[in-house]
Amino acid sequence: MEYYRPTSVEDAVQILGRSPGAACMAGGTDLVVAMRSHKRGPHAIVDLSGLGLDTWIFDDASNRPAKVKTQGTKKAGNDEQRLGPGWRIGATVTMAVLKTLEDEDNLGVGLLADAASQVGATQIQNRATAGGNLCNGSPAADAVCAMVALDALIEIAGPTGAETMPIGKFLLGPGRVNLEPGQFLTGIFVPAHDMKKSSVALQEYRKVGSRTSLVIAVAGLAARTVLDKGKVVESRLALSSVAPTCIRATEAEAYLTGGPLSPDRIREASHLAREEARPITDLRATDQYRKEMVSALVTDHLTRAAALAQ
Amino acid sequence: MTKDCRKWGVGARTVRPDAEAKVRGEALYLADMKVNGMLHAALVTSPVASGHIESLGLDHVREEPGVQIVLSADDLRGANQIGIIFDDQPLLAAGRVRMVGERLALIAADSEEQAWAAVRAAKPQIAAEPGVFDVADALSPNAPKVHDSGNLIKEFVMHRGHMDDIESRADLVIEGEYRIGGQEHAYMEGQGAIVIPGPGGTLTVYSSTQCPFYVRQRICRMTGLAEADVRVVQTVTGGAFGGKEDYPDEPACCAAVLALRAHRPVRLVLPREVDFQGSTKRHRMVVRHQLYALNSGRILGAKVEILVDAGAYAGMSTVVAERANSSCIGPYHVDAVQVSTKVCYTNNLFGGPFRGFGAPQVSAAHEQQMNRLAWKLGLDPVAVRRTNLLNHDRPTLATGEVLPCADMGPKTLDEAVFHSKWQPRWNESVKSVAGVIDPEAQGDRYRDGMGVGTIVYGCSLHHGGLLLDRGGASMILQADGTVNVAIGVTEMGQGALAAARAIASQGLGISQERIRVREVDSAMVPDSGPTVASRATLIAGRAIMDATKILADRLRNIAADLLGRVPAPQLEFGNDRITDPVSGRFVSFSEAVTALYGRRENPAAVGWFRPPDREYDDESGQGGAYIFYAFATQVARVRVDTWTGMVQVRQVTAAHDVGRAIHPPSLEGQIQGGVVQSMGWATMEDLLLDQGVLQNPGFTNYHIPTATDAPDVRIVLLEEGTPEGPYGAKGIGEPSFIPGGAAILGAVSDALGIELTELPLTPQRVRMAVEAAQTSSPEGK
Repeated sequence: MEYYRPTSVEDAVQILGRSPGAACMAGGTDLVVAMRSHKRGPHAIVDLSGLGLDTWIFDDASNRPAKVKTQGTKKAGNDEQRLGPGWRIGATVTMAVLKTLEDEDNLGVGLLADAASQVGATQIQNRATAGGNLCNGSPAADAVCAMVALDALIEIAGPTGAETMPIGKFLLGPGRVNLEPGQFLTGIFVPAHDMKKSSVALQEYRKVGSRTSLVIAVAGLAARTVLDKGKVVESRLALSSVAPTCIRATEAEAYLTGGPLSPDRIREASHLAREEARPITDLRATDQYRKEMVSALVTDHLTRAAALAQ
Repeated sequence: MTKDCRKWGVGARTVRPDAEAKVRGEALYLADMKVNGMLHAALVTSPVASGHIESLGLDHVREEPGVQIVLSADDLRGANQIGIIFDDQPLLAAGRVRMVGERLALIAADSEEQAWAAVRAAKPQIAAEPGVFDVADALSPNAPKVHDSGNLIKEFVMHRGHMDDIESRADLVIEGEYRIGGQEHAYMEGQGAIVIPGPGGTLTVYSSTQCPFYVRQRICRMTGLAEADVRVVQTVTGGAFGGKEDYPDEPACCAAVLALRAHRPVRLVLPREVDFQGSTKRHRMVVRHQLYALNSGRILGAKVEILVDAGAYAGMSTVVAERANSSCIGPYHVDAVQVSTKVCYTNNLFGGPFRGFGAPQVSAAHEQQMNRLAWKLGLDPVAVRRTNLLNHDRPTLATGEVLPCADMGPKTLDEAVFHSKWQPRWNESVKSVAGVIDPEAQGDRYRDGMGVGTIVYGCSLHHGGLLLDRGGASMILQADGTVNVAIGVTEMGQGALAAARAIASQGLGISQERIRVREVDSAMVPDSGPTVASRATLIAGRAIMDATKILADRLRNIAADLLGRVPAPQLEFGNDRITDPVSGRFVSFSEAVTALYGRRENPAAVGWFRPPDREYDDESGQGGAYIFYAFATQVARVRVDTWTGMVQVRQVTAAHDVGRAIHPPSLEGQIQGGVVQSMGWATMEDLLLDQGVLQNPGFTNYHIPTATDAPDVRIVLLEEGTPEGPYGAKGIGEPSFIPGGAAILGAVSDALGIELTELPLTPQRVRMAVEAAQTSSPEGK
């Protein structure tokens, strides 16, 4: 087996170009396990850990130089576009780093930190990466669910140059993501979701499984609900493990936006979200139970959000 | 509480002798060992639960890189038979397979990777046939036969009193059918063995096992070698829980067969997935329980039918079933019982010993029956237990055995009830909107409940295993005053070495740190039977006491001389001294040993323990089955999320009749571990089977509790001793596990107001029960 550890994105693109079928490796927490159980047997591995994609910055989108939050200033991917303020997170930033992202102003990234803190065990969090969580294509991926909720953008490098796409376009189905041969993920951009001083927000990731930690979600909810003067001004409900990819409950979100969080409206929103879920029955749970859990997670979140507004 | 700094004797809070090496990662486990010239073995196993072997597909395997030996059933020279009690199990499948994971062929190669790569090159062709996948169907006339002899392996019974008498006297009958799940042992260290052939056809076997003498016996039977030529050394064993009672013999026999063929050392370490699918599991059982009672809450007796899913081979299942049979009434006084326990072949997972040995399953049933009786009569479940528990006025078990310690049952109940602040909610109205997923029902979402489990457990082998119920210990006083102790029971993580050391320390009155106890070496100590049945402290302890008495008597005479004509019998051992209590004068232990060596007297002794005979009648299931009994009560406090069905076990109060705490830290560790393991079994550990194929053969989807799930465990020790036990100690390994599942089943039922009858209480199963209750309740939505 061949092993490469390129030190620039350009080199990585070249190596992938001449080794079709090579597997990209970040933390290796999915790939190595799959190799050990002979589910995958790549002839070559391109280790992305030398690309300097293990840092993040907050880009405030002003003309001032970007505010550097950790050591290393290399930006992830393409910074040509002006995307508004947000977090540029390198593909190989670990869950352990993601979970330290602070969000005192409730701009959204705290939701990602919350989800990252629930991925696997501490040891896994020290290795597993933002990019790996995305490229593994699991509908149960906790951090991905939060990225979906936050409308993250995916930054990709490849033989035809850099590319940015919405996360909804990137996730295709179980184990499938939108990468052409030779392409790999370099980073994500998580836009800051501004809110008024008078608003209150509840943003959190919750999942249901058979134990309290180290568990793959049977159903998960990454939610951000912003209320202003008693009315929902922003509603983000992303669901994990209940569809071929992490999905948004768009009908429930649209219904909630603009109205108060009355019990009747929570009831209706939770019903809409439940109907938007398209779960399967597998060894972890039945489709019916998963749908019920969507109701439980959405009702629970919205009920607590309503209490916060009072 | 004052801190006990004493370093010698029983009850001293010392650091376990094996702790440091294990914590530092220095302990040498089997997979860490390497032997020059060693080959690596791997197993070709069946992916099909029931079928005929059309071809093994091994042609290409022999050409795979590094492969040295490939053996199938046709290549075996000795008997192709590895059944431990019944001759029903081939080492390698011949003609037919009966379970997934059954061995088809053995491969030895130069490296571990090559060996398992060769396994993947094998292309066995097996024509699937109908199988038996539910034990409830195993005995129906149309069921496929797992073995030509039929699907009933054995039936055990227990008959006492007159059933028609209690049937006519009873005011009510509580009927229940309980479906109780199995469990994977989830030992941290998996199964394996290294076998090294020596000159003259001898073998040295390194095995991760709780029963080295079983390993030796089965290798000898398979190879025809003499017991004195097969030396089995137990390696540091990383957990066992019954999973290393009989199963380790299988990898050891595989490695032995290959080693003899190759004339080279062979190592076989099972990957976790192979281990999960093929090794033994706690038995799945169906328990049909009819409890006859009076309106006062007094029970008269019970009629019980138990079906035990043994899997494809008998293994130890009959012995486990015998324990279930004799335990299914619980620690209660009855006038009459009629019990039938049928052990059945199926094509499911291989059933085997697991901490509690059949008792946890039936205890969950008998305790829930007691709860249901209480609820039906509007009584407190604890009050109903008090009404029926054995005590000195009614000390006779359903097996007819009279227990001198019968008052310990009510005592553990009282302690557990007191320390847990027992307050069940059953008498409250339980009809409410709990469980309805609705914003206005959020306040009713979480329901708290309490449950209690009381059990009695026979510590020792059952009467049926009487011949194995003995054990030895050999001790050598070294000239510098240190001591080597060899015992015939194994350390598997539970603290056997610490207990043995404490007992030796007490017998000689010396610091525990002078004493070295080692893992079992079959060439060094007599066959002491298996390390099972919560018997290790009893067997090793009494044998050590026998040996220390021999040595102490010699040292006493020497010390008497050194002290100048002091009467030897009055000398006392303790604090590393031999003291004359009359004058207060003493000689140090080291001085006495130096004098013993100076006189060229024998510094060694072999101790022996032969438990008393017992009488037992198989036809009626009546008699003295065990040496002595330990009672226990655990109270669980749970919080149930009725929306998700998630059960949080918040607190378990464990009151145990331990006789005497020999090494308190290990004892407490056993109780904490037992509680958490039982909680895992009762709430999350679900062996998902589809046509005999385990769907979750790994820790990704087979969930055991983590530290964040563990309850607050409150331990209450009752130390009232028992004459047979070493310094009064009883067994704790299994009693710590058994009541937990019952207490949790009762607590979740209490929380929800639903009489649950299945384990494990996974979130989905609990949620389904909540939904079913809402549909059937007129007040539910």
